[in-house]
Amino acid sequence: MVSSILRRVMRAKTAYFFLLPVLATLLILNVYPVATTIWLSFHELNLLRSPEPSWAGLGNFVHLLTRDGNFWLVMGNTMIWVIGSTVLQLIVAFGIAALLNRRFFGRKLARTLILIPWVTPIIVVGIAWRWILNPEWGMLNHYFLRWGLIQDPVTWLYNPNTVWPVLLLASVWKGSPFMALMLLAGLQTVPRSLYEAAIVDGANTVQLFRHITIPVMAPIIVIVTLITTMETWNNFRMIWVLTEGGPGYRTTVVSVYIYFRSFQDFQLGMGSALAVVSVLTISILGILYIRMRARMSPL
Amino acid sequence: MQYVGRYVKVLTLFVVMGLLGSALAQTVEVVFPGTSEAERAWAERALQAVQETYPEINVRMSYIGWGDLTERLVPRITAGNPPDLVMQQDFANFHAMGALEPLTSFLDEQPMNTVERDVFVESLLDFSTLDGDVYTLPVVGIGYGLIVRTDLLEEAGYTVEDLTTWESFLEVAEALTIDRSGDGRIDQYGFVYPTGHPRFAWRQAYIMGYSNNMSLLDFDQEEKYLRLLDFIKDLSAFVPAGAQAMDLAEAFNAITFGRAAMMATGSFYVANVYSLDPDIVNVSSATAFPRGPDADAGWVPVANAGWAMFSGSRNKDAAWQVMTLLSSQELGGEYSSFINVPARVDVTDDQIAAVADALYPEAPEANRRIVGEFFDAVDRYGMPMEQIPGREEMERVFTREINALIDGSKTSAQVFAALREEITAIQAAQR
Repeated sequence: MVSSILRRVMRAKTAYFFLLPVLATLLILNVYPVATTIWLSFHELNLLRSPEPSWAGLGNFVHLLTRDGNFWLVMGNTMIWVIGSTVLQLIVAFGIAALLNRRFFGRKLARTLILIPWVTPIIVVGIAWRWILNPEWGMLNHYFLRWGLIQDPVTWLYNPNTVWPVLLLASVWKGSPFMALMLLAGLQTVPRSLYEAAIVDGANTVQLFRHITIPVMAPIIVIVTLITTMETWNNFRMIWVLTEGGPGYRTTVVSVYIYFRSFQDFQLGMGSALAVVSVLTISILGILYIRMRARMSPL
Repeated sequence: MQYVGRYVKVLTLFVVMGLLGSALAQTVEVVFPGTSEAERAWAERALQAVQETYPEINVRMSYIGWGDLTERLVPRITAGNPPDLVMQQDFANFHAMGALEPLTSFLDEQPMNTVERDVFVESLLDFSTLDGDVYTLPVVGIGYGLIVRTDLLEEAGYTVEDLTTWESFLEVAEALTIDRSGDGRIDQYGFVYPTGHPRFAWRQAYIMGYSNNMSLLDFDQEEKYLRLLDFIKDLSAFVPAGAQAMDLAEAFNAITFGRAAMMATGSFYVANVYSLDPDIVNVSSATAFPRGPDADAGWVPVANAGWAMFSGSRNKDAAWQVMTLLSSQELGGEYSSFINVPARVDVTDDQIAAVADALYPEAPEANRRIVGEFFDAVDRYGMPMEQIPGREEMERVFTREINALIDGSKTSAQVFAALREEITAIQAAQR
């Protein structure tokens, strides 16, 4: 067994030699940090108390799930953030893609301009939105007050009733262009003959969309949804720039909570356990998506 | 060929001399969180002074902002590679890690560069002392109190002397909450309490708590604590709603541009508002925060920024020489002029004025007056702030609860119960 592996390696030694840099990079930058995080998640390591990790077994996980007063709030926030962002982005992006798929004057320019929010650095986007939403001198309050839509300035990012809608609005503004681009590519692959045949059979617009566009686009929808879900799940920067997870933990999502635990409180064991829970959760979501995709068959 | 041989010999000689020189020179790494232009200029002068006084010591200065200090240094401490010296305010976390060198024996046995116990303001040295040991050499004293826009106060028919108790303070705050433009909306508020950032939500409440002779950790004094929470709730009627989104810089803006008339803050006030509008310094006054109902004389929280030595320093004697020089009457006195309240009793008014007048040329008199007001408050009512390990985590909990209190989603009793449970748990975890 070993000798046959060795023989195969020796036969393709040149190929393996050229693979070495990539393998080494993967080992150092991916495998080692992931393995260390998993190892740390089973240890107690609070740098403010001791630099030596001590074995904690499942203690960190039990603490998170049963005794951490913020964990379920944070998971709930993350679900609102991820599901809200993904669903809203999908709806808006579908509309944009459908619009850009039609022929009209300036379509090429529109396709380019639509990408501006996506290519703008997220820190710039965050700061711009903070300015727009500022309760004292923000543009939104200024115009809403002028038009009589509100009586007093609203603290958009700190009011429990408004904070999630405005965070999702910023997320949709930033994320939907990329999704629209992917969906547009998908829309262009739908054969026109299918639509023509269906129209001959008397199908209306809704039926065309429901029975042709959606099924043909299903693989792309699943892929972009999966990508957006994962990206939003790990999107630390947008929340951080807008609210820093606050006030208190009101908008803290799991990536921000990992940062708090690991790099503000220096509880690296607990932070690693959180990271493991986060990866497991997002992996489960990924598997569900892929299974869903497997069940779908175009047409 | 012979030239090549000579060249190699000369090069080798230089390398050997270089290695020998670096082995003999002692390197001291100093982490300095002062990032403003004036502070960097001071650091350059300080470096030059160290090189002239101690030519055998090679000082390497690293600049890291206050906000990143702990995050950047904890991994280095854990890895066994700390710098030698750092400027610190709250050193509780580093102390809890066992990372700081007690300076008591240095201070008692090797006083130098005019640094000895007696030269420091007592309450400021107390802030640097934990479990009987001194851990930092104070350079700048920070007193926390109340800043008042005297022009707005006088316009409403009050003076600073009227601000004596929480009750009178609420009355004045209400009088200063005004619809100036007559459009039915309030455009000037009595007070600004920036609860958008955990650090300041905690610290402003800490100042108010001290004025009733209590700390935010005094959960065994339930009645007192509830009175503080009720006071904050009552006060919130005279605070702009937007303050829930503010940090300290935005609160300074609010004061400067007349959105609010009073705020609780520290003696770094002038340094922060001068660049916004120098004239504001002329119409600002500092005083102790009005006392609470349980206090005959409310405490004024006192902290300091000072030099600490890491226990992992490889050149402790050299580090001590450098830190005493940086804390000396000349260099320490000059540095304290930026923030105003000197930590040393031998820093003269003229010495401060020489630097401060150049920094604040459009309000030299007013700046000196405010320095005096803060110094007076510290001198009369100063009480060192606590060194609190795990404070950052407590601040986040506190911010969540205080905002719930302000927006009415929780009562004082509910907030107190939540704070007691969660902050006590954080304290327990830090032990």
